[in-house]
Amino acid sequence: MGPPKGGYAPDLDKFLDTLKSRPVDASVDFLISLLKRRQIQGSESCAIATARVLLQVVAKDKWIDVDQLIGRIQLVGRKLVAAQPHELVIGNIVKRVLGLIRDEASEDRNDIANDSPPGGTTTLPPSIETVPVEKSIRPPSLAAFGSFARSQSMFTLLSDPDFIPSPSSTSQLGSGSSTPQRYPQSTNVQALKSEVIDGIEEIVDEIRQVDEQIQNYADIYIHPGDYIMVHQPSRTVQRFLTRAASKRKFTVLIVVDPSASHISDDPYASFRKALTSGGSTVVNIMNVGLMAYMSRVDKVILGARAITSTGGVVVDSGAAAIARAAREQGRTVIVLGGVYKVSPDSRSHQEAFVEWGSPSKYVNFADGRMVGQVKVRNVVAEFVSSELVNTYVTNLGAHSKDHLHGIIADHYNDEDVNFDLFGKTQR
Amino acid sequence: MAGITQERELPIRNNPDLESFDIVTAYRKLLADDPDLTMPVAAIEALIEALSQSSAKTVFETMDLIKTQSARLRAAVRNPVALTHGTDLFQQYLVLSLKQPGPDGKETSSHENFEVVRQHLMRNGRLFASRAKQAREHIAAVGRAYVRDGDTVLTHGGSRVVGTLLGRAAEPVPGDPSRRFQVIHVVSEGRSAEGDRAVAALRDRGVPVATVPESAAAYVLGKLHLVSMVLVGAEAVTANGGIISRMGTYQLALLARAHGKDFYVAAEQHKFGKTFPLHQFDLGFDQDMIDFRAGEAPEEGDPEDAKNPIGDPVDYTPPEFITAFFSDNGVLTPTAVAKQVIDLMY
Repeated sequence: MGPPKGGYAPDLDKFLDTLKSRPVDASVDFLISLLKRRQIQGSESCAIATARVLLQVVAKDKWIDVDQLIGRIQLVGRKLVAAQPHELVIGNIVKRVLGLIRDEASEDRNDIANDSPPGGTTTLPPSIETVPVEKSIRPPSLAAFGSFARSQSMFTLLSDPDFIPSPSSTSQLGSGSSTPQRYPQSTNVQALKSEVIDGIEEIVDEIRQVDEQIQNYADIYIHPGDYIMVHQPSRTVQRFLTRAASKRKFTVLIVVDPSASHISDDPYASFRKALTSGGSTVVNIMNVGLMAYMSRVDKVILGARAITSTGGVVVDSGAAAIARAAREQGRTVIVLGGVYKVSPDSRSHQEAFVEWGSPSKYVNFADGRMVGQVKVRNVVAEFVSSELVNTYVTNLGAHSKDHLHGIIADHYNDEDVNFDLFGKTQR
Repeated sequence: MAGITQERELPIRNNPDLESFDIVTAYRKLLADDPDLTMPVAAIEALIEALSQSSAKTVFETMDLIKTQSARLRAAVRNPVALTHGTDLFQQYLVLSLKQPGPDGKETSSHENFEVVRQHLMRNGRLFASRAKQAREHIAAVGRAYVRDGDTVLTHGGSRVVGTLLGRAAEPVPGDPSRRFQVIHVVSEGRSAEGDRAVAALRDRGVPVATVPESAAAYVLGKLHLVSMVLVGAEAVTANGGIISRMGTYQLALLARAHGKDFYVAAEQHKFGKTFPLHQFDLGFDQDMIDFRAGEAPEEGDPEDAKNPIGDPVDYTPPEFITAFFSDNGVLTPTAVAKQVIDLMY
């Protein structure tokens, strides 16, 4: 999760620099290879790279209508997800962008129906996420219950088969410009394009601001004198605690990766400095003996790689044991992660979230006997089931697991939630 | 209510002439004719028949007709939960149609809207039954991703949704290679017929099925790495995201929780409804399952004492035991189901 080290390999910034100069397909392929080689890793980097490359697709590709654009994004999205299927945020961003396009397109459609000049439309920024009150082009299909957008599907059983009322009995309703096509050929692709691009820019801004927004909630959760346990703190967690430490004194127990102990430089040196300068205490814990420390701990704070719709959390390996130990002794477990990490993807199987990585940290490749005869596996990410988590803090505030589906309903379009990005890529 | 009773004296026909139509026989006939029909949909179809038989024209007459006919249906069966969910859905659909904004944002009278909806419902009677069946296919498409290669699925009963889901999961789909999985079917002694049909159907498709008695469910779940998930159907889905399903579902849910297995429910959205049981014996009807006896067997000709246990008993599985629902609206958590019901039905 930490910032990428070493300057020789291409990383996120270098990738973003090259975007403008390359053709779209080359950028996509480049990103795929970067993802595969884990040269771009960590949810934030992956999310930003995905959003940026999709922006290029929208901006540079030639598309004449909305359906074509959606198809194109879906195709690129599938490829990106296939390149790094463990990083759920890639799929999240793809689905966010798809939802954005659908929203803009339907807004566009309504503008046409209302005969307002297409140039002078004031479109709402997608971050506000107001559900557009569809001025029902559709007759009583009950499709226009804005906030019920998701729920009304209960009535699909009874709804009118075609939204166009039959001319005989309901001619008075047929006056609207109801078009059989889902998204009519937009008269100004250009306007739509710029709206979508603005929307993607806002998603990128949102991702970049997550840490800042989450740390505003630090005061609420961290009290003076608390004992806080964190596990290999990500930047989000670090900033969260640093903000709290600027006002209060408390104790932070950092669980570090034991394999990193022989490395002389402390990866959390600046974090430690920030905390101690405010008078807080920092204790390093080597992964063992968690239960012994747990009796002193008040809260456990974990950074999420991704949050699933059922409340499960993908975390750095090692954090699941901490969550379990905390649950065993009744300690609070708080998960931090931006809204963009909340995934509509509801794959159930925990194994699907477990990511295996290079074991070179533990076994030197030069050790021929070990390499030849012993199979060493190193888990990079693992899954914490929702029962072990008390609260989720996102940039929108705190949520219980029961209301994560509300966030998903607000940020994703129904059609995209069920779109299987894994499709062909799963074995 | 006083106002309404007064109005009765006005020339509103109190009971729009239904002539010889009997909703209960219609309902029973629908269920008997089509074994694929679920109770809520049969209730809706029966209501539509009643609607087209009657000469009810106004909103009041129509709603009154639906209310009395629904009540008649409810009274005629012993376990009215599922069909009540159907009639409630139907009623709610009509009520909400009154609140609809008019076409193109124009304010039309709610009566016009109501009439349009009423006509649409009467015209499309048969459509709903076929849609309900399509919903099953949709659920199969949603749920098949959850059945993975090498899995073992534990199920029970003769749920048609579960049967469709497992059957489709065994079929290859373009872009998604076929998978091999096995099924453990928990068979209850008393009601083996429907289970047998489900088992035979799966075996025909080449899915290996093992049948075990209900008493062996815990034993089977205790085998390490064997059962990967429990999948059941439901007769009705309650307002809090629990299910009312055939007797034995609750204990499977408890066992699944005890063994740390995921417990999934496959159910169409038209089974969702306002029922809110607080416990097993709060379903709104008596199943007479508990019959204490001592000493000699009771005499034959003593019907007063004898308990009359219901033919197809059900139990209630609270939402906390359910991992997720496979519905025709995608995969929903119990809370999401509850929200959906609260949003629409209240």
